[in-house]
Amino acid sequence: MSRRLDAGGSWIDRSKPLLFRFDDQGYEGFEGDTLASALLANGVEGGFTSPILSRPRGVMTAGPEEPNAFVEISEPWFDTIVAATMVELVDGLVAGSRTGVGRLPDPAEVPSVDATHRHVHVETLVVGGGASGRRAAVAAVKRGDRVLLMDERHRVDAPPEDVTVLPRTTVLGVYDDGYVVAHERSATVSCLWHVRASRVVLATGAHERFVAFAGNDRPGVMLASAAATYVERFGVLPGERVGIFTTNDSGIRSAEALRAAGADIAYTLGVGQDLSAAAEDVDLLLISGGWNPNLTLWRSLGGRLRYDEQLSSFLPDGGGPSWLEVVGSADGRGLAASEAFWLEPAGDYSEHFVDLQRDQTVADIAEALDAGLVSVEHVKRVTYIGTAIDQGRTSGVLTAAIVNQLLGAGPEAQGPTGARPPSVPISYATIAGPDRGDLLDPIRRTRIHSWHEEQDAVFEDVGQWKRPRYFPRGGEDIDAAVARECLAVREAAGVLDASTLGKIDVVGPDAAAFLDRMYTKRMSTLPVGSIRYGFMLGLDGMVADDGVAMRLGEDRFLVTTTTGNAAMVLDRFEEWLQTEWPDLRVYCTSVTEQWTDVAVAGPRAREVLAAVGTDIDLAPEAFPFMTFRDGEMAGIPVRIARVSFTGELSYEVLVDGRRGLELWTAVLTAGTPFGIAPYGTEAMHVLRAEKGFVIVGQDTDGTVTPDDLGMSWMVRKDDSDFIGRRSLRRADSVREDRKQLVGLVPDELLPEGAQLVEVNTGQIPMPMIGYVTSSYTSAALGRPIALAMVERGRSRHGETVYAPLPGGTISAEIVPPLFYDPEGTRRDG
Amino acid sequence: MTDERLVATDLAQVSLRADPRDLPFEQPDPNAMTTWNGRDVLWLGPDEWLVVGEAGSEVSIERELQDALAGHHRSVVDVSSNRVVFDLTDGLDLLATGCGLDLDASRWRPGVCAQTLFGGAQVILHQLDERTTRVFVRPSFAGYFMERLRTSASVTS
Amino acid sequence: MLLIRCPWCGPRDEVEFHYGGQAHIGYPESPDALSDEEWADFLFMRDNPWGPFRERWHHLHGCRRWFNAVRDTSTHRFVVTYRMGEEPPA
Repeated sequence: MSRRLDAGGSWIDRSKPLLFRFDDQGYEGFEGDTLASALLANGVEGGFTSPILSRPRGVMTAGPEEPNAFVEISEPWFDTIVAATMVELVDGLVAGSRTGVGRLPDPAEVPSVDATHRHVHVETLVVGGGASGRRAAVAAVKRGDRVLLMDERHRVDAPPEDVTVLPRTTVLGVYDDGYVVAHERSATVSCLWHVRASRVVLATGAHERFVAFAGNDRPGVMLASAAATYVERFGVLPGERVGIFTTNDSGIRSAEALRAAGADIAYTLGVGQDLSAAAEDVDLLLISGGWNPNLTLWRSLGGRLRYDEQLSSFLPDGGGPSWLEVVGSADGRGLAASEAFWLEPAGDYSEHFVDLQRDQTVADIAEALDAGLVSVEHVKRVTYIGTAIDQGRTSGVLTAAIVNQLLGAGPEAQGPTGARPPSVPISYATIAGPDRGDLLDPIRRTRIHSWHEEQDAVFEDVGQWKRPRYFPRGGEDIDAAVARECLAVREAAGVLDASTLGKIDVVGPDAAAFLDRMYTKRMSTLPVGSIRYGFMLGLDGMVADDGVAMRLGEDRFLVTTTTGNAAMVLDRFEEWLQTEWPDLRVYCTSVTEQWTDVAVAGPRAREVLAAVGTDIDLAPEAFPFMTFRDGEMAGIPVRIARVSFTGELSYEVLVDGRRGLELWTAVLTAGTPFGIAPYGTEAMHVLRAEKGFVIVGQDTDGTVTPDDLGMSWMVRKDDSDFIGRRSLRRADSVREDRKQLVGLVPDELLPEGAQLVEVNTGQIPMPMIGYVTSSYTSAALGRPIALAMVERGRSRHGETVYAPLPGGTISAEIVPPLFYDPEGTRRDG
Repeated sequence: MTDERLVATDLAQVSLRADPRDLPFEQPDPNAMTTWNGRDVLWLGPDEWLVVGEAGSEVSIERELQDALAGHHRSVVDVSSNRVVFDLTDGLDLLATGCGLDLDASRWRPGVCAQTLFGGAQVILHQLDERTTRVFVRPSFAGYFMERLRTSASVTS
Repeated sequence: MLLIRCPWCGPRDEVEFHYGGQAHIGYPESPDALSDEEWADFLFMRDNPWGPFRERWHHLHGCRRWFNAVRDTSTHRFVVTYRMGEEPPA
């Protein structure tokens, strides 16, 4: 049965019919319809179900305050749950009724909506495209403002000139300093707007008020102005035999609009007349309990409310930020005065619905009050009134008023509870926009990355970086590849892409003095051409980073940091220079990516570099450990540093970043006859662990001092100050039961993080005395090894500890943290 | 977005830090640029600038700066490989998909520059002329930068 | 998302910045002369007022300058920002 009128409907285009499906039935509508108006036009009665009591429900409103008609859209885009009154009808729309909550489909099932984000700055943002919003926009344009006007409907009538008008755009929240997030949605795009506005004008209008009477939730009960909207905008007459209950003149006008469209107004009721029998005789019962200004955004920024007796509702009453303004009917202007009427007195309130989305009635409110609650906030938490998708648009003021009434207080005693952003449901896909999958967080790659990929390297994430973890050959698994790479480094030569390490240029007359303050070792005594390893501590004395400093000149150093701390170290340098020592003459500059770092390690490393071709004298007497040389290699300017993280003869070749791949390739080519192999982070970890070299952030966690690591030798002995020095003397820093770095020789490979106990009683709890920080299978030793932090660890060498694990207990002997080449003879090749 | 809109450009880049009173040129206003001997000088901080010249000229830029600032406390560091440079045509709306600056053409005029974020990447933006935005980004972030730009372009077009 | 006025760059989004804790706590002249309690007070103890608070901020993703601010902790609002080394406003 069609309820479409033969004529009328200012928003629909009758020359553009559209086909859609709802709950597996096909229907027709027009461009300009909402899904709700099209369903009503097709005579769909009810069609929805309440979430808890499974009562039949129908479309009750024409806007976002809709509490019943929720749908899932599956074509041409997917929306898990949305009010049918807010869905713009498009050709081929497929929708189904939803009750309560949406569902998450299999991503393969549904078309994805491309979601994007847009930032925009304006002087004035107007929320709401009705008459007062448009007026505010025009006034702002006259002032010379850039003006943006948003409206949640798919159409704004008479859009003002020189104003950017965004229909289909719902403001999700208004935040500090005029930051507004809004969702613009169409059939093909979902766009999250981030607006920074100097002024925000809330022209958010008002919602017509619902009232409580027995059976007020059944299909065919509709807000009066909504019915008039269906007639005027969509050319739909939602009912032919119509009754109306109204507390105010606007209800009369709405009924008149229906009568003019051909409806039979069976009766008009006012306050004091019997409502409950009313619904029997008509197919549409219109309700107008007055008007509630829509002020959730106002309140979210601290705006206060006051009760207005004329309107029987709440109006803005100061307290908001100076840049936020409320205009139009949101400020009470032009709203019909209304008697205060909230509920029809009855003996049984169990069908006097207040929050339709939560199936909560006046009886539920009374029960909460009987239990002793007096605050609307508590009533909300107990009954869930106001917490559903509509966030109390039709129930908020009504609930507060009923609480007040049942407690014998005046209607101004308590106001409605608030709402939280987002003001309407929004999908995570929209929140994410482009920032998901590979774009969730930047993936950082070195200049040699393409080569690693061609070699089918397996990568691991190191912070944001992708670093090759191992280079499997011929079907090797990780263990086989790592064992082979380690042996290559120990017996021939390996090459590692170390480009991710941080590098900082430090220059100035006070550069050396500055580094002295930042590191545990003095850099001022470092000769030009030499390299020194140091710890950077926090003020609390805990190891924060390690690195080496190369002295390039009297006044110039190149400082390296760990990969993960590159930014932190530079930031810390700047913090101290800018906030504490502005008189120090030193400048720091990040050069992390200015240089590619090709590390060549192994007993044949020298031969490999000689084969590449260099003018640098590589002989050990000419090029000692912990020094660096500048020169050329393969015709490319290089700086070569003799540092070793593997314990083998090792050179780090620094080359201009743009020539890094070229040098890398030259090294691999020249090194082939010597058995060179690329190695990844896993082999690097094993090799350094065999030598007991710590990795800051793996073997340390911000609670570890140099002495805990057995590395007091890293701390200068003179009394010159450096960051963290005083804290090394704190009672807690010298506690004799502190955890100390030890090596472990376990029966089996231990998981990193395994907790260690002294005595394996088998009873939980057992006191934990330590934990495993690093654990590997050592190819050189042919057995598993580990590093661990253990209480009084240095006095426990030779003892056995136990790691209780879900699959059984592993025992391990505590040993010094140094498994391979204890004399360090391999360092010079 | 076609490759013509986003063009990788090879340039010499030298980081300069010094007391602004010692500079051989008038220091630019914050987040603006000046020119010196045919190079662009971008303001990065009250004592930090990026001197940008034609590809391969970093050695002469360094030498000229060292000479001009001889005797003064200064830092002159070649950073030509520390950032890659893209020239983006008609790209302000695209950049606005990931950047909170006011990039409206009425406010973001030729000659202004800024260090800021595009998505998760630090960038330096420099408006060259009415239509061209020069973007400096760390090489390791370049892939992410291009991908995010392209993803946004494919949605908004 | 707060709008923070960097004294150099002008107003920028909060995400460009990093909070640096209470302002105007200088590194002690002679750490060695302090007892453990006094040193711990410098290390760990900070004021926590309800209302205006002097804070350090770092324009991390912009000009990388550190600066100071007076901010009202009860409203999140920045009252004023001022350059490192400048006198705090009354």
